[in-house]
Amino acid sequence: MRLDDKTLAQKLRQQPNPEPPPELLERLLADLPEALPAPIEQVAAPTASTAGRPVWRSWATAASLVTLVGGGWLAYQVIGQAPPVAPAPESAVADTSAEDPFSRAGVVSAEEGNESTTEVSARAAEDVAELQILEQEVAVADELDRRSEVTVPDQVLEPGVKEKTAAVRPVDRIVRGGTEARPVEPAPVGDQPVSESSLRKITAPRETAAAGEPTLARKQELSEERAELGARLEALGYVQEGEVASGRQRNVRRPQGATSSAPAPPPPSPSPSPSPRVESKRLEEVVVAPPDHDGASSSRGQVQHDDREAAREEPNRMLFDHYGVNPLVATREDSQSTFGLDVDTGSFTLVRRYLDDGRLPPAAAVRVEEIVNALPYPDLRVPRRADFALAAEWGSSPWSPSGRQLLRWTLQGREAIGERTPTDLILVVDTSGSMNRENRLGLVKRSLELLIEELGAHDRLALVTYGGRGQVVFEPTHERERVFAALDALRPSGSTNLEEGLILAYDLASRTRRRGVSQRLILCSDGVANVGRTGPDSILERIDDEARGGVELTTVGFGMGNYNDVLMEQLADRGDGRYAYVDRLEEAHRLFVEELTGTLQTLGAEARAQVEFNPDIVESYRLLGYENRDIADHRFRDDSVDAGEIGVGHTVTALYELVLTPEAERRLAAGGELATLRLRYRPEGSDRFAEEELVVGRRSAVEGWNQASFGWRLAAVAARFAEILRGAPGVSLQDLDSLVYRAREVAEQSDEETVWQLLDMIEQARNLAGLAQGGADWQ
Amino acid sequence: MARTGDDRETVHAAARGDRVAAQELVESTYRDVWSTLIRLTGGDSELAADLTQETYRKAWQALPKFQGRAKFSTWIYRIAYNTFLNHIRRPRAVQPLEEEAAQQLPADTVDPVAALSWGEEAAGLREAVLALPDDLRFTVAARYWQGLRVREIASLEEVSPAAIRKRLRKALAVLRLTLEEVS
Repeated sequence: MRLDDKTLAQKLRQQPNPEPPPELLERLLADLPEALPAPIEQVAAPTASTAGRPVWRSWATAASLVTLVGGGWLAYQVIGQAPPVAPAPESAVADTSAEDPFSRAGVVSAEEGNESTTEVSARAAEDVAELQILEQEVAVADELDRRSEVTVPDQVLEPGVKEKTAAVRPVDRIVRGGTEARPVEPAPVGDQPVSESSLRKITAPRETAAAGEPTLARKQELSEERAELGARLEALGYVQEGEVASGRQRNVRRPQGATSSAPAPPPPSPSPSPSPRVESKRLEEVVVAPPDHDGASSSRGQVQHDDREAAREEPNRMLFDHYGVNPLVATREDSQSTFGLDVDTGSFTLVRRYLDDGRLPPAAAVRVEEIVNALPYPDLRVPRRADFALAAEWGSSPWSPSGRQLLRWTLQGREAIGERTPTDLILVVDTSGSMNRENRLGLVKRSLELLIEELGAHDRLALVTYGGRGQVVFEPTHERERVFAALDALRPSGSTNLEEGLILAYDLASRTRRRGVSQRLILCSDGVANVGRTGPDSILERIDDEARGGVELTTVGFGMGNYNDVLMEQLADRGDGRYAYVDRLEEAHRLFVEELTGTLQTLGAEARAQVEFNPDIVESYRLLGYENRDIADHRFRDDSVDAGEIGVGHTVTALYELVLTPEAERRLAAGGELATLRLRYRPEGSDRFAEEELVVGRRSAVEGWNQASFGWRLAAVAARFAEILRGAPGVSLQDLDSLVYRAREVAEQSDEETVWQLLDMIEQARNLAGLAQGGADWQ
Repeated sequence: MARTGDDRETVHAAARGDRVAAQELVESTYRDVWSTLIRLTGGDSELAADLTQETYRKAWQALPKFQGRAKFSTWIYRIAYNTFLNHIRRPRAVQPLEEEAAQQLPADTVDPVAALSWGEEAAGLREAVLALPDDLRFTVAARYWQGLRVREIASLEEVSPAAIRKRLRKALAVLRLTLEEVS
């Protein structure tokens, strides 16, 4: 007999659960301290509107809707398993208490009168709703499965990218005032050695669906079939999880409109020379009002994080640069748009973190391209031989009533072929006092533990730490256990000499360089530097040199209160590495486990793109995001210009909003071109740059939202979200309302966690925006 | 379990030193705590009681830090789970009883003693749960043993409900395979 989820859940609940010994309660009550410790901070009783995070993903709502509307089936199924009960009516969910197997599982306590009947039935109803959602997800995913099976890489992201030439826009430095209220669950008490360590991989063989058994009612048949599909999908999902880094199989829907280019043979080009730097930002300070609802909440975060010292620290300063918003450009005046590619994702995580904390992010923390690129686009074709596949798809923008078009331009890197180059990883860990806050160092340790477990036999690991002084804890070694133990023993204290830490690490790298082994620094820090020449400029030059010499620097940001986004991004940018922000262990899992190969192995260096629009067809265009990646048009082929690094399996998306000319349709019909996309990069291990080109015309056009591919819609939603959050011209927070519907439509087509997270975030933002507009005490 | 109503008031009262409120908290949650621990420990009633006691001791110490962001019952589950993990990871120089250790530690095989009193399948299932990776085990125990809601677990783990649901799916898939292998 097959075990379906319901049965299994039931069995789990039915685990023997004898009555607690009678004297237990007495013992517990005797244990009550004479005087309970007085509260450190008086915690204001949260009211419904301010307590915790808003109920953004209304699973419960959705579930009860589903249950109300079509819910009879499952209820029927559940109840049907308890033989003598008549088939339940549609409303049966509410009164399953007596016969429902779930509640029977819970009967142990229900019988004792310890749990009321309504509670039991509520639990059962919840189970039913939960399973139903599950099955719906399964059905959708399975439908996708049926349509086609394509090999695609997981997702995208990657190394830092550079601008440096033209970003001369005024830059605001935003100082986030207020103290940090990190409304997290209280950390486990006292001895908290419990590591959530093992996001270990498990592999499970693919299951095959058993043949359906003859049944009485068609409903039952269908429902059983669904359960089977569910089982299959889970098994499948499992295989995906286990295979990690390379060669993943994923079932996806083929894009309808996307086309991809036949890559042109890369023309030879001059070799790179040292890149000139143009630093021309004007920094100004803006003080943002404290985001907290009340004084009480601002003291919460710190107190609960066992960090009472930090609790008395200065107000938090969040440092962001605001690079402005690209304007609409008339094609007649400037037909070319040139920018360095970016596969960073830090902004996505940062925004998520803000929303989780119950506040809207400051505009400067929102970088459109990082939010768009943080999402998985399974609809893209992965090139077999060429390094990259270019694709484009365009159609009516769902956001603009005035008939603007949205052009989605994508680049998909190939998957790893054979084994990854052995790598010497030098972990550079910030152990300064600030890392004590929110248990940042703890998250760093657990994140790096994930990374360490993923390393191959040929990789080596070194550890450099810095607080007040830098220290080489381990030279590159294969003994990762020892490194891990050393890492585990780190305790935060002292000031922050970032510079010394980095210099030590670079010196170590050059001392231990080996032929055929790539070297990479991974800097884990909150970016708060206060000793040494802390301005980034002093260390940036060294980073530049080392990057040219092949030692790449990836930066991983942790922490919130005084987190320095600017510094961390800039370091990765100059170090030809990737910048990511880790707000929770899951994110570290994505970075260090799922995408490790891409994180560690570059496919194309100094990658930049140029899109040339046809002025006969495109009247004007606007690039969404990439504001700080701008490159002067005439320097596209100037290989000394610093641009972006793209890793194995990464995807990059760029979106343009287009206004077409009146005669566009006619000209397109006559074979006119909309635009030409060019990609220029230096293939890994080569001195010469390569170029690829894709001509976009009518062939890659789609009508609009309804005909567009999943990826186009997803990118459109993500970009819109970012535009709203950063207050781009012509949009406002009210637009989140309509965005939620589109976002849900997209999410429902996907079983990707990140896509659902995007929906969560949009809903959270909408709720927060509603609060703000409702005149609540929010900001 | 104290699912009904809002236990925040009670928690705040307890945090202000109200012993009656604290007593209420114990009475409304200890059965769930115990029942999670008795399953985690494989039916060792004595041990489960000790761990329950330890759990509440820690809770009283930590109560001032409790934010009221999650329910008390959710919060205490986390403490109980951690207490259990601490217990099995604690070096045990003084505990000579091999059998007991085997019973407490996730093992590959079904413990015959437990199997006798529990029924083979239940014991097998418990072993399978204990052998799950930490995050899955935590989630399964929270959901099915402690009876927490998905949303509550999500807020404990600081992830989205979808992520918890995903974990449950995964966990069930693994458990199913494990059980099918056995039978």
